[in-house]
Amino acid sequence: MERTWNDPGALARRYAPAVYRLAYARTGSRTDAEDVMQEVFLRLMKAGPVFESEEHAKAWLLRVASNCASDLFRLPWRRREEPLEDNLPAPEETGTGSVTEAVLALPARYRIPIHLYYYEDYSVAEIAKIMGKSEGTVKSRLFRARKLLRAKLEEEKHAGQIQA
Amino acid sequence: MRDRYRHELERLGPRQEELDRLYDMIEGGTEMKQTKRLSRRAAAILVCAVLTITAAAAAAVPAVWEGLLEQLGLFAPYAQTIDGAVCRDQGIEVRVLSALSDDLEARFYLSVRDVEGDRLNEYLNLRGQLKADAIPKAWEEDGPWVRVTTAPASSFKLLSYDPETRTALFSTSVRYAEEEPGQGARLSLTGMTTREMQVYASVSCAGVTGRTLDSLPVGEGDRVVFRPDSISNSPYTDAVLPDRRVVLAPEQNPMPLEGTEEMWVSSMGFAGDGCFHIRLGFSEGIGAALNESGESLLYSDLLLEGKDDGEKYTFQATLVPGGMDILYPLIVPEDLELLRAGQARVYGTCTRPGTELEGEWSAEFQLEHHRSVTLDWAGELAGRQVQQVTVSPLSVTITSADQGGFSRVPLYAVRKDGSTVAAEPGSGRYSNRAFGTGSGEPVWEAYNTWRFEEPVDLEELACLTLLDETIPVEQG
Repeated sequence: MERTWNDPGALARRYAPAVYRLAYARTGSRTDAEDVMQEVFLRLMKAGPVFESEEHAKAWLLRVASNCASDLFRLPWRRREEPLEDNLPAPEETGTGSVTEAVLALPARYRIPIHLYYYEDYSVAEIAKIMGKSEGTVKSRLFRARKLLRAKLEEEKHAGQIQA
Repeated sequence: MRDRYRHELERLGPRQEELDRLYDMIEGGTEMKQTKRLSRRAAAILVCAVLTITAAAAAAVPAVWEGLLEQLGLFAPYAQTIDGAVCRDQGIEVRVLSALSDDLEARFYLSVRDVEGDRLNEYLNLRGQLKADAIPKAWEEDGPWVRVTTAPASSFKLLSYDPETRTALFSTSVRYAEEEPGQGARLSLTGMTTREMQVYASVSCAGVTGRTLDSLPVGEGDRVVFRPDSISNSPYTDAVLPDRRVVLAPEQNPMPLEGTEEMWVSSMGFAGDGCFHIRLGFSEGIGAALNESGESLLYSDLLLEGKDDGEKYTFQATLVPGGMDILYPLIVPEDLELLRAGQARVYGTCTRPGTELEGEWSAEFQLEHHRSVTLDWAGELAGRQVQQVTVSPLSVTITSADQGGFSRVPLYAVRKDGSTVAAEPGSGRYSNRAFGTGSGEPVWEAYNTWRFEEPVDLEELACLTLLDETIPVEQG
């Protein structure tokens, strides 16, 4: 494989959607996720880190994305933005999907570990490294998050919102 | 749960324009300078007078200039003549002729002339970019670093081709998304071709039957040029392809493809693999354009009610002698009734006989903008609190607590002589501050834009009207 993991352009083409999706899982806002995506790669260009491998580069990007997405919630107020396309009415939340909605309904601290676990297929140890938390913390968050998710999906299923 | 979560998230992705902006920023478009921000006062000193098109420029290519004036229409007196932005390579002269710009958008016009031969025609496509400096207003809190970036250029649009002067007229534009327009602009072309053409064609599927059409095994000379895996963000992969690899035999139920005379439907129906196929026939010299990875730039999808997006746009394209076979692996005979009420679309880029030129055509120039002025008015309008109104001869922006109504209605400028000019709503942004507002209720922030149908001299402007209410014009 071509060694392109230190080329920001190649990394952007490969991992911008992954960065976006992690940010979306944390923020629940497409516009915020796009802002985070821009910021992550801006930081990549500024910092110019030297990566040892493709996986190292990806983990770095997801870690910065996780931090940037969480930083949004530390702003004095939480912004929610949607660009206005021509002839579109007022912004509305777009339906994403039942599991995604259940993930977005989780308490904020559970969303990133659950996304990294379910979507990116990372192990507990890898998630711990990316999040800068202990494995124990990640394990316990994953355990609680999965329990909450199951309960939420079960509840919706009974409410007829999900077709089994 | 994992699979469902993945499936749902794969359908979400950043907008292409945001990805383009990102790539643009990384791949040379962005300079990161530890510099002071260009002050508004400094920018204001660059007085933007009403611009006139000079006779010198008009002398360059008179026929094309006439075409340009026709395109600009009433906006011609407000356009800036770009002098000296001309370059030549491979016997082709490229000249940036004019720009029409304010705080919202800059539109550029350029001519491309074959000074040595007759290699150009109405299929001419340009490869390259035109970038204009723009200074984002966001992310300022990030230390002393200020990002000087470039707005992404849209593709070049051929407006006209004059065979007598062998000159083509193109336009392109950049949009400033709440950025401060800079002065520098750069044209950089790396190639041009008449070997490509765009196709937007469709065919009704009403005649499809449940009968299995004659099929042929995929031959050694056949080449798969697009597969389900090629579709980014799709929940479906190559795993949905049937085990049996066949294409339709040609000319079983030929019919025209509406929108093009260069290709037709050679066969359409269910093939021996149990899936729906369309085999296209190509006229002599016509083919599907391929990208650098050998993937087709000619695409297809189905307009069907009752199927999800992924099922309708997942396809595999195989180049076959004289055409292309398109396989829709998720459309099977059980979908016949839905299919018969639907349409198939074929769109994208085709190759055709013509000229391919590679070279370097670069020019830098300075832009002058019609700066907006801020009206000395804020207050309630149609039940919304309006914070700021800016107006330029080309456009209006309003910052308000609107929750969506402004985005759908035209705005009118009323001149002092009583005449009115309509402005259609353009792109904008809505935000809500959900936290930290004390009451816990979201506070809406809306940024709306409108572009005038004809230019408005601000000296003649009496007021603006929106939703039948008046915004007085006393320029602050």
